[in-house]
Amino acid sequence: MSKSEFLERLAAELGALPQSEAEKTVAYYSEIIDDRCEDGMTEAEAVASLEDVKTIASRIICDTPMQVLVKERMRKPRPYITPLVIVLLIIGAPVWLPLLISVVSVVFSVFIALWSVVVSIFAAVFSMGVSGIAAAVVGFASVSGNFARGIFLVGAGLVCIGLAALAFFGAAALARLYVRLIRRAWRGIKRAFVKKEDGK
Amino acid sequence: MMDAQLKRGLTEACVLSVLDREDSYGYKIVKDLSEVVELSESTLYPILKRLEASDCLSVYTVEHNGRLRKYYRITKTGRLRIEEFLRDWESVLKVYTFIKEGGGRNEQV
Repeated sequence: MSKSEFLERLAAELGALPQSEAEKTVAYYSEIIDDRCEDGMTEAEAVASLEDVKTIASRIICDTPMQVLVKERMRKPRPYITPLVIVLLIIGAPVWLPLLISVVSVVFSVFIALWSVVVSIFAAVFSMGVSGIAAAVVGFASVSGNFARGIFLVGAGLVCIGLAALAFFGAAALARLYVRLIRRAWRGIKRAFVKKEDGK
Repeated sequence: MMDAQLKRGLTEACVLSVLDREDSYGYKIVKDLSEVVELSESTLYPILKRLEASDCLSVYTVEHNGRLRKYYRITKTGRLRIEEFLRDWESVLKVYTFIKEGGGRNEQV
């Protein structure tokens, strides 16, 4: 076994220790192997002259105070799906399923409500634009009949078109803002999830 | 076979005594002690850790051939520990001689 292989295995066996302790141990054995090599052994001989990794690791772990091990165990994330978790998920289904459904539906309805504001603004803008154009056209057509009414209609139509054009930009800006917010929320969710999974 | 607790105490005292002569590092401590006690680097490691935790020695790093080597130096507490050890064993030695010479047996016979 090569030195690096030995040290890697040792580090893996020392997973229950706090990282700094494990690193110290690995450094110690690295030094010992180097010193033996300097004394004339080959790397393989130096590694072979040491005890096997499991024996070394178990002795060090036994020598570590229990509270350190427990603390480390609590700090490290457990594997996500353990049998206990599965059992709890199944037994707890009547509790968490409706909760989950209601949370999801609340989030969904907020989402829909926000978008419906955008959609209704767009609809208002659209109808204002259409009615403006229609009023202007009708006004133009009736200028020859009733001049005052025709001019009024044309004016009102133009005002409507102008307002619609302005409101369109506002609505578009709002839509963009929503898209940005949703993206940010999604990123936030993702980040929270990754953090949870890393647990570090 | 020597009692594990006893052996541990002896080895700790040996390590401290080696360090009392000069600062040393893992491999050398083992070599220097090889004639007195049976000791491997693996058994030395927890001893060094314990001694460090109880302030009997301090650790510093020295560069050697492009790598780092940890040196151990005895502290005041460590020296006191050696003295304590010697005192303890003086009384043990008294008991030893008593037992060896047959204790109170002679008077009884």
